[in-house]
Amino acid sequence: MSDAIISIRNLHATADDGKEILRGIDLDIPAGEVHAIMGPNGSGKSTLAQIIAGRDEFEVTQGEIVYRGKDLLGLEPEERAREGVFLAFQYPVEIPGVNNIYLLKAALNAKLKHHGQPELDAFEFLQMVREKTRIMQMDESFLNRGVNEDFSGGEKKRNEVLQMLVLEPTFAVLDETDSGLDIDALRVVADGVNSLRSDDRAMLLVTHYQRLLDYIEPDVVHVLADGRIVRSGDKTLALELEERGYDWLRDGAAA
Amino acid sequence: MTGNTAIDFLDAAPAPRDEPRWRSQLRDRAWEHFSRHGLPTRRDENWKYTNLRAIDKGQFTTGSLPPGETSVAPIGADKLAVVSFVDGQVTQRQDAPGLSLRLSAELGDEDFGLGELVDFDTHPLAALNSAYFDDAVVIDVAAGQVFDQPLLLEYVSTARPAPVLTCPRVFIRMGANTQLTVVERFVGVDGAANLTNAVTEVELGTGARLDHYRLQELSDSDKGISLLRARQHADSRLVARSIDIGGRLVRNDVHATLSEPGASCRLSGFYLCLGRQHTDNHTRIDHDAADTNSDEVYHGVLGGRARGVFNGKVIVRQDSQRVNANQSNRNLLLSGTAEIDTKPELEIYADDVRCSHGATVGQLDDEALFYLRSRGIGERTARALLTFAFAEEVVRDIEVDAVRDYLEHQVALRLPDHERLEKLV
Ligand SMILES: Nc1ncnc2c1ncn2[C@@H]1O[C@H](COP(=O)(O)OP(=O)(O)OP(=O)(O)O)[C@@H](O)[C@H]1O
Ligand SMILES: [Mg+2]
Repeated sequence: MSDAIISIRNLHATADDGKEILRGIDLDIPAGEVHAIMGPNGSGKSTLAQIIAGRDEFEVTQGEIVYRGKDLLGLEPEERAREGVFLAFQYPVEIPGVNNIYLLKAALNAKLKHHGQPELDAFEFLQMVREKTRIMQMDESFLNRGVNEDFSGGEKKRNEVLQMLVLEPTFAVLDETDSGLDIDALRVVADGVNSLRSDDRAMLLVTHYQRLLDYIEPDVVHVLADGRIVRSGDKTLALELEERGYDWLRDGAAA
Repeated sequence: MTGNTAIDFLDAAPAPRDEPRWRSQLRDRAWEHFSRHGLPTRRDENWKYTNLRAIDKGQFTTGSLPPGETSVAPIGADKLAVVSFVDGQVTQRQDAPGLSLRLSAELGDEDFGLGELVDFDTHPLAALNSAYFDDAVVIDVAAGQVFDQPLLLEYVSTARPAPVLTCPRVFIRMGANTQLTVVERFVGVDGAANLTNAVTEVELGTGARLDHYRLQELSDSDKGISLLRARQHADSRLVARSIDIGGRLVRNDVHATLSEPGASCRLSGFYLCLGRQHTDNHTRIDHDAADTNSDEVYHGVLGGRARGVFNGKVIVRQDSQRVNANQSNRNLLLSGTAEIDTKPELEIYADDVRCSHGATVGQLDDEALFYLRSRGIGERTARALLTFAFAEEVVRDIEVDAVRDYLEHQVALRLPDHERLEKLV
């Protein structure tokens, strides 16, 4: 597919201990589409997300990931980010001593520089960040706290989406960004994500809950089990999973 | 005179002078102790990791030669009062209305108890200080006085043909319900190779609060020794912050005695040791009364072939019930050749006590590093940022804005890859 933002071919990956976690993933996400990945705990969803972002804790033993025509696996994590790949972490890391707003600024400037664009001046930057902070319904005081430091679970998730809104990635992976959110926060996060949907971007949502997909309608839903995509379908697949669980698919995969 | 190391080190007892009785008595007592015991050696448990041989061999004078280059970068805070010393000589003094600040010569015969809190056996170098100090700074805060701006005591060490021994001495007496902030700054000009051996003695009255800062920016050939000795009465609070970013051989002791219920202290520290620097922090908190609290956080960054030492002693006496004492010492090693010896020492004789302590030695957190890189921050910048952040966890608690800004800048400047942090501070 020529207009694919990302295309993953036969991806195999093992953890440090040699255990194979991803066992042949194939996935294409064309520009403009949102795909969802669902699947049982431990099936490899976060591993896939982290490999896309460049975590070197896992070893890719086979296969490739092509991102906008480039070999993604050959790039350092920071290069991927500057090229427009973004991961909203399932467990965002607390970094006391680094200001949230400093990180936003450093991250955005790194990206602008990479693309040969001028940095925003301090005023423009602050205006822009304040605007996005409002969209996320976060208090501005969060900007001057340490990155995720002592944030509640839900606040961390909002902060991930805030970073995403500031960086405007071409391809965003959201790893259970909906987990731990109250109903209102879910809506805020979904609005934030939807505001980024566009014809030249793509997204991958990892989620356990069909509810998120009421707010962010996916084009395709995949089921990941035991390191493989065992079924793909439209959004009604999520409803079916809600009703039937995963066992019927796992059995099918084995057969 | 017995010809032991003490005499070898400094060739003779301080010459007798025309001075008040309290001064000569303290001097005699101190010299008697020092000439008998000399410098501590590594056989002394408290000095196991810090070897003073380099001092012993050094030829320090105590003369008052005219100083050379003395200019150091100023800290731009609004100050309550200032006393500056250059190689032990007072060069600047600015008093504050309402604050009783005197030099020892101005005290006359009044014996106001300077030296009572300092135990030479616990800290032998205090005897050397007590024998040699000239212009002790004596601060008396009268009951109820509250000062917001910091008092700055600045000690500059300069490069000179023969290294000098200087013995800064401070005595702070705080009456009931008083508040004071004191910044003691030890700073060396390039090439300075002196020995600064400071003692600060503090008595905190009921309900008093002292914020004490010790900023150590000595040159990389300077040696610095310091003792902060505090006794705290009921409901008093001591916040002591210790920042070491310079010096070749550095040893700091903080000894706080919480002598009445409701007293509390917080000791925080940051030390950066690079190259061949050696920095040793020993703290000793004595919970000598029930319902007293202490907490302690020290962070160290060590690189090159530097060596750090942290020893945190906490004593909870038998009848000191309902005591909380927390201690944490975290160290970041930037090189395989840097070393840290860290040790908590708890002596607990009461039963209703909540004590925690934790010491860590490690490298930068991989998860945090990956998180930053996943946001587009290059690896080296991310490392520099996390190293700075580790220091910042302690430095950011400095409540005097100008001092904090200054130190953030100074810390950042000394870190590897600091140019990558340019826009941070
Ligand atoms: N560093 C590692 N070393 C060894 N095993 C690992 C490592 N990281 C992950 N795993 C294992 O890989 C499997 C997949 O983990 P992963 O986090 O990708 O699951 P997940 O699908 O995201 O699950 P969840 O829904 O619970 O978030 C799990 O069995 C996990 O224990
Ligand atoms: Mg997961």
